[in-house]
Amino acid sequence: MSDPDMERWASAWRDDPQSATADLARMARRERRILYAWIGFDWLVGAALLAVGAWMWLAIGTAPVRFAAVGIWVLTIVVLGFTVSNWRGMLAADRESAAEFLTIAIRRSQARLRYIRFGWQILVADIIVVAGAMALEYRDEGAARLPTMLFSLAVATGSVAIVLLWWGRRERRRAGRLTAMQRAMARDPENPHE
Amino acid sequence: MSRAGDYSIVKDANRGSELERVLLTHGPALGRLAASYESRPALREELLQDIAFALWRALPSFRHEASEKTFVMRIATNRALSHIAARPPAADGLDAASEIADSLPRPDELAARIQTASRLQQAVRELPLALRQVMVLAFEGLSNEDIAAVLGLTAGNVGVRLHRGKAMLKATLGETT
Repeated sequence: MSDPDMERWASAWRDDPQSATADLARMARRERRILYAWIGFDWLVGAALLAVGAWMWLAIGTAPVRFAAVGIWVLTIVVLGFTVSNWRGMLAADRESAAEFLTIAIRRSQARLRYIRFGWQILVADIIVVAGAMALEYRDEGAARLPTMLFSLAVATGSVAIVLLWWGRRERRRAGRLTAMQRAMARDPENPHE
Repeated sequence: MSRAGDYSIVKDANRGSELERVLLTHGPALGRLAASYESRPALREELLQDIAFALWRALPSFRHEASEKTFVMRIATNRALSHIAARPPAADGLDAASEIADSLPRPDELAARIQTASRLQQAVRELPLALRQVMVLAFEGLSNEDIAAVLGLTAGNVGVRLHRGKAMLKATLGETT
């Protein structure tokens, strides 16, 4: 760097370290623990749902509950399969150049939006499964438990819908910002209004 | 939900000491880079955490094709881009050129302003993203070729951006050419 202005600025710049190195190492260790917990939680939830389905089938065993159990198994397997295929190859981009990284980050964002759309489809499938179980319940046991089941369905469906709406809005905003950054980086600095 | 690519990462437990060495070597530069993208202290720490985690994940793939510093700065720059995509700054720096021109400080403020690194940082944060990136990497001692490798540009384009970044920084700091 032979430019005196750049040398002066670079010197002033490097005189002001902003972060203690030990803190960074501590943060990294914490993130690693979070990753372990995240992965463990993923498989734990999947295994728990499969186990709940098995318990419903074996311990309760009525026609509506068995119908619901099959629904839980199928939906859990479908969701896990979609998740693995949707995210495969999306995590190794950090070592690329910034321009390539942004392209991949936008692709990741699109993958998340696909995941959210898939979440809506699973929610509809879930409602269909529960409606089927309720129809069988009504046929075999009458309407006594239907209000409770309907209330539970409404609470669960509403909660998931709120999360999907919030996540979808957040992800669309993020995708918009990534695209804006990609445009900003690609813009010719001699002609910023290009 | 599960991410298949993460499982091989988890298996490698020996990378912690290597990460600590890298952070010990480049920690201050990473801190300055984070400060150039994020002025809010809590969010800056979050960004540093993201960077440290990304380094931990990426270190096994380092093949010494570029210098370690270039590799580290590339990952940090990418994390910073992700960070500002998820948490935009209060005054978005993507197209800040016109805002800078309108907010030039008075001459009597200028001498004091350039004295401190924190004010230089503030001026750098006000640069448009495309110029801020090259200026920060140049301040950290990367060559034009290394900056080009980090950002996916040509060395010539880096030179043009440095020239323009310098001019804009001078204007922001109120230095005469």
